[in-house]
Amino acid sequence: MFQRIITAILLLAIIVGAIQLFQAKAAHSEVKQEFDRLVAKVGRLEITDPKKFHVIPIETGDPFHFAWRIHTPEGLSIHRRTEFFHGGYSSGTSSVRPASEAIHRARFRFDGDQIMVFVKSGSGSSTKGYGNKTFSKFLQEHVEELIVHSLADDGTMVFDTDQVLTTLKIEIPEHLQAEARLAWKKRDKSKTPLPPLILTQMGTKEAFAAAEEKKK
Amino acid sequence: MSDPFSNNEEAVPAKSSSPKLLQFSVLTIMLLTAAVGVWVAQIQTAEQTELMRLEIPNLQKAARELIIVDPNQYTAVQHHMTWNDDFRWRIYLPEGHRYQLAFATEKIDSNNLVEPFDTQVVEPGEYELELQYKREKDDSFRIAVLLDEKVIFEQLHPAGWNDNSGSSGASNISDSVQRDVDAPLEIMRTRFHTRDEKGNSSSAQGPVNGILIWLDTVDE
Repeated sequence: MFQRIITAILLLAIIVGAIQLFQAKAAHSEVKQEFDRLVAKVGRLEITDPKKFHVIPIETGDPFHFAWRIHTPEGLSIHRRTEFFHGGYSSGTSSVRPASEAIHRARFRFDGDQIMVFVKSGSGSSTKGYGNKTFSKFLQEHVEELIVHSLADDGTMVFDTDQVLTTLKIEIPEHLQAEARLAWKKRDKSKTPLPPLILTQMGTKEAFAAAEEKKK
Repeated sequence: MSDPFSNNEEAVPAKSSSPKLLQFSVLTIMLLTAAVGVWVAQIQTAEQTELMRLEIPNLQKAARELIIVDPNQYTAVQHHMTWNDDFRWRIYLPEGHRYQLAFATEKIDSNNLVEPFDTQVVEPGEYELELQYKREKDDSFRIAVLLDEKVIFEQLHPAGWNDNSGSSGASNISDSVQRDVDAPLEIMRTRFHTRDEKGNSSSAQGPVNGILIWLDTVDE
């Protein structure tokens, strides 16, 4: 009799557990669908040490569009600098802020003979453009061959705050240098390597100063 | 008196009860294992769901999605800018009122609402709002406002409307915000700088050209 009661209790526990599991799985599936949708949009940035930079890339589906989700620790004034292929640059420094998270972006657009570059870092942004139809065509034809160094292109990465983060550096490979030089400026016979197509960096002023010192 | 050598099955209860007990124990163990398994799976699933659920608000904020906590308030969020002058918002207008979207491009001061160039009545619901702002080849400007991809306001201005001296302000919304419907909800206020006779650009004190977009309830 006692064993029959045990059996009945266990059967009841299994039935109730199975119903609960079914309901939990249904709720899990619904939440996971929403969770996965959002992660696909902005990535999953897991903060393991709030005193460090955390970076994760965001998939854009466009080879000339780069985006990252970046966690900046509290109490830092961040300097941002972008160098463009044609020699121009833009820079800016934020005031000291609480810990923040922002999407940084660098994007190229080709409109007729214009090459336009849009860079957004937190609340600041800049747009540069230069007209060169041949060079614009050259870039679009060789997009797969350009050397792209995108920060954290392999999942979340954590960086100390004494580092200057190079979020994006796009270089023209050696075998295309001559063709690029010709496309850029036909009369340029110089053999010096062409500068990066774009170089975007961020870090504290102190980190930039230390990096400059190291260069010397 | 019973015969001790007779073949009476009732006389050997110990032998028959032993296998039954063993059978019952195996069944019990199997049921116990199944019960533990099903409940552990249920608890683990619920824990994983809760962890994801806790992370969703942060992801929604990062993705600039509309977060409606109080359905009786205006809710608005600006989508991430993917290009210069890329102004797109998601707006939610609560039930219980009719609304008016208003648009002005002249006589814009720092704080007040002005006489709109045009208005459009909007029913409660969720909408995609977009401002398109384009400098044409002749340096004139085409400004359009779209609601759910349909142009509701369009205005053309000659080159002098914005002399490219810079501007102050832009979207008043970035992360998802909620505001009481008792007061107008300003979506965007940008004011163009002006140049003095020496050519220096600065933000003027009084009304100037710019772009102002706001929402308000419509009196019945």
